Amino acid sequence: MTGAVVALGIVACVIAGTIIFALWHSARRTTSPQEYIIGNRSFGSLFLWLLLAGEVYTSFSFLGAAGWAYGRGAPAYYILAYGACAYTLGYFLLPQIWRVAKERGLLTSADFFVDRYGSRTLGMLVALVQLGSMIPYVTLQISGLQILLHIAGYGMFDATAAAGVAFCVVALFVFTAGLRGTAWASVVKDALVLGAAAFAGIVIPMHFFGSLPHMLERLRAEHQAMLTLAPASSPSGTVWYVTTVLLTSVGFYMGPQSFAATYSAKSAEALRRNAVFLPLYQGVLLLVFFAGFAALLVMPGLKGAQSDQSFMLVVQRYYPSWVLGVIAASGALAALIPASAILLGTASLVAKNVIGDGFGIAQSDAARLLSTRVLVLVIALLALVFWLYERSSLVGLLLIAYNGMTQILPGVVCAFVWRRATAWGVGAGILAGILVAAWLSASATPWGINPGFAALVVNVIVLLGVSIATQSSRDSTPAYPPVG
Amino acid sequence: MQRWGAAVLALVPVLALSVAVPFVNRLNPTVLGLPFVFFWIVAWVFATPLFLWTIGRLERRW
Repeated sequence: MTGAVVALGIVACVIAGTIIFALWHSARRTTSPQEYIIGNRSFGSLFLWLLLAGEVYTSFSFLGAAGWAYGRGAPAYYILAYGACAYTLGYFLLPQIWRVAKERGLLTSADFFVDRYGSRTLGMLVALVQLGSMIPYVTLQISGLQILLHIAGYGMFDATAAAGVAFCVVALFVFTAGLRGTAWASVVKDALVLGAAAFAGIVIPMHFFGSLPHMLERLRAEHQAMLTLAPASSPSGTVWYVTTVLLTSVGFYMGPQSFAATYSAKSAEALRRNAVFLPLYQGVLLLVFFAGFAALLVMPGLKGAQSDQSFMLVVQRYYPSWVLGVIAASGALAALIPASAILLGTASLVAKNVIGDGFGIAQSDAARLLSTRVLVLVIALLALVFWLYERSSLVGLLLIAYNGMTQILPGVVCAFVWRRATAWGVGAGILAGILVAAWLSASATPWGINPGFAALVVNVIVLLGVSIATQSSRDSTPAYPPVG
Repeated sequence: MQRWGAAVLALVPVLALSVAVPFVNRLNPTVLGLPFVFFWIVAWVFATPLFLWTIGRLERRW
């Protein structure tokens, strides 16, 4: 019992301390929507790096990646690979998006579509698609949080209520602090997660196996088959791997929170520097893999959703409660900080592009700030309700959200490379992509092709066809000129 | 010329981490204790910053 009190006490103190730290750094500055939503486009390289790392490495990186290494082995390698591919794409794409956003005064991801394709209806469609895919994403974070609190409490009580309360506290934090607050909270989160990953991926293997190479040796001896990918024809084989890496890396920056982080940069240069250094952060994932593999050797036999908890259960059984508390606290921040960025990005999107542009409500700066804040709470509540009634395994939800979110990519890329793309084409492509993704996720795909990847191909074909069919005689929407 | 160089350099790690993986999907030889395919992916992930940095040099950004 005292163990649970110590561990949970540490988690509560860390969450509270992080919020106070972030509020202290950001409280007096939130006066305009620009400051609240995108930090007045003032973030330099380092701050941006911390914010992006804070958003990207979620409780999925913490629990899901270890769970995949534990339960599946080689398919987990995709998690390591897609980030590096995504950052390479980001090096080229994000500075272009940033430049347009700065010149045209864009605030949200859907603004980009409204500006380029001259259609507020398309903006609304993009906003609703992102809202729909972000709710499961937030839900995933609440699930992760609940698992962590359940383990930190040594399984002695049902953590549903505690996870709900912690999540509501964070929603109130976002309501107050905006993006700058989230970025400061990311500073604490990044440091703690790095420490926890180092403990889990280095200290645990050394403790149980003497050294990392010894652990890997035993892994090769006992679990040889799971360390390489299955042949092409199997469900998680090589074809699945390739299509999943490609899909998830192009979808990487398509969430509203990623657009907000891009817009918040001080310069295009800051974004390029980020892209260069972000792959190094993947080292955290590598450590988490080692933790998952160590757990597999130390505590074999966990199945299904329980494999997501593998290395946390090792910490729970073999280490003092304060260690469990610190690690669970880092995991809790890894759930809450990305959730806060997503809530903010999605709320600003709905406030501006659905309520503002669509219904003509709350279009002044002051009213927009208020409506964004209220929507943060509304969307948080929606996610909470969704979570209470619709839970499934962590990764399943993530992939569904990703498949929906990725469908807006062709419209973003065409803005820069194909001047004949039209609002009708982009809109029809998005809808077709989502229909295909939904249809395929219900059935098995041939050779394990990722359903989102197939959907993206259909999306692009529809975009090309409908755009050509709906050409207007006057070329009213020139593509953004590429700049060197 | 510069643009093409940048595009080719960017494609190298992306292709190595995606379509090349089925061709190196082997356990042996192990490198640093890692199964070969695992090592391949880890090595390319950490090589990516070098490629991006080189692209920046090529484009004279730093």
